[in-house]
Amino acid sequence: MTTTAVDGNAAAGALFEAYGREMTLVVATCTACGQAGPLAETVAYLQAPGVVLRCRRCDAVLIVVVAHQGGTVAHESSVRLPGGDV
Amino acid sequence: MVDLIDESTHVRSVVLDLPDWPGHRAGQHVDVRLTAEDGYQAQRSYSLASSPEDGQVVLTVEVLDDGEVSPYLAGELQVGDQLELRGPIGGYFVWTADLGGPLQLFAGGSGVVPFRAMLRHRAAANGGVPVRLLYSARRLEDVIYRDELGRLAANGETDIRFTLTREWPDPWGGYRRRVDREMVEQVAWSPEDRPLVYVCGPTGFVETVADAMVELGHDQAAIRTERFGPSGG
Repeated sequence: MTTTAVDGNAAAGALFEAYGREMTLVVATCTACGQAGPLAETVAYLQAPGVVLRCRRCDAVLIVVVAHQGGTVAHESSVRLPGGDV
Repeated sequence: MVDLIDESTHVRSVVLDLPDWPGHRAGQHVDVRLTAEDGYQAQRSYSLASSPEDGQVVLTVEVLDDGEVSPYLAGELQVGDQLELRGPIGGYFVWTADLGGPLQLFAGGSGVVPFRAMLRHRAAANGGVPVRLLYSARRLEDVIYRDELGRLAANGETDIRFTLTREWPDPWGGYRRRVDREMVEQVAWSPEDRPLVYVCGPTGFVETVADAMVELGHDQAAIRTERFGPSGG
């Protein structure tokens, strides 16, 4: 099976598992190029080992969601999310 | 699973009875997880084809020959079997009647699935919001929900245009090519109408339509896209 890019909204389930809430409307800022927009509009790769969200403008890796020790963990890379409970 | 409905040669709807379903909004999806006897897991996301008012939860699944999940869902699953699913999820590609309209929908192939939920939701909310749908399929036999869409178009409440990209019946009054900017311009509301725009389909289809809409002067923020890639699984 080929690895194909879809929209970040398709990663809603994985993001929910990692963050414990609906995340696709959260506005994320790419720290590599400054692009800001809802996570739903990022580029998602669902069939990599883990879920990878990349910036639609510059392709920088924003967030990687992986299964880890029985749970689901989000590794944030070139991304700034709103402060508070995220 | 309580029923299985053939929608076209490669597409079946899976009807689920979910007593604890919390309700959903049109356009949301669910993740279906299959676990093999050896523990191997595969998960796919499917748009909900049913409206919040339908009572039953329906997934419409396109069977992909090299898929891991779709052949099982639409082929091996039997009435009475249990499924593991999570949802409803997604808050982005969603339309609720209170958002108003007009609505401009673009569907490529099985990208029409979330739009059935939206059209049914609109009907349950007593219509009102004007809708235009452009639906691209390879051939007429591949058009999903053909009868239902035909009824909606016939009663004049919904403007539905088709384009067939590979084969056409004779006579055929719709378009006969892949979607392009000229087609988008002909079928879409004008930017002055300020439509809410939803585009769902394979990546190439979504990008062609979304780029055309932006070039035609539509507000990028009013365009919501759902790409499912060349293959889903």
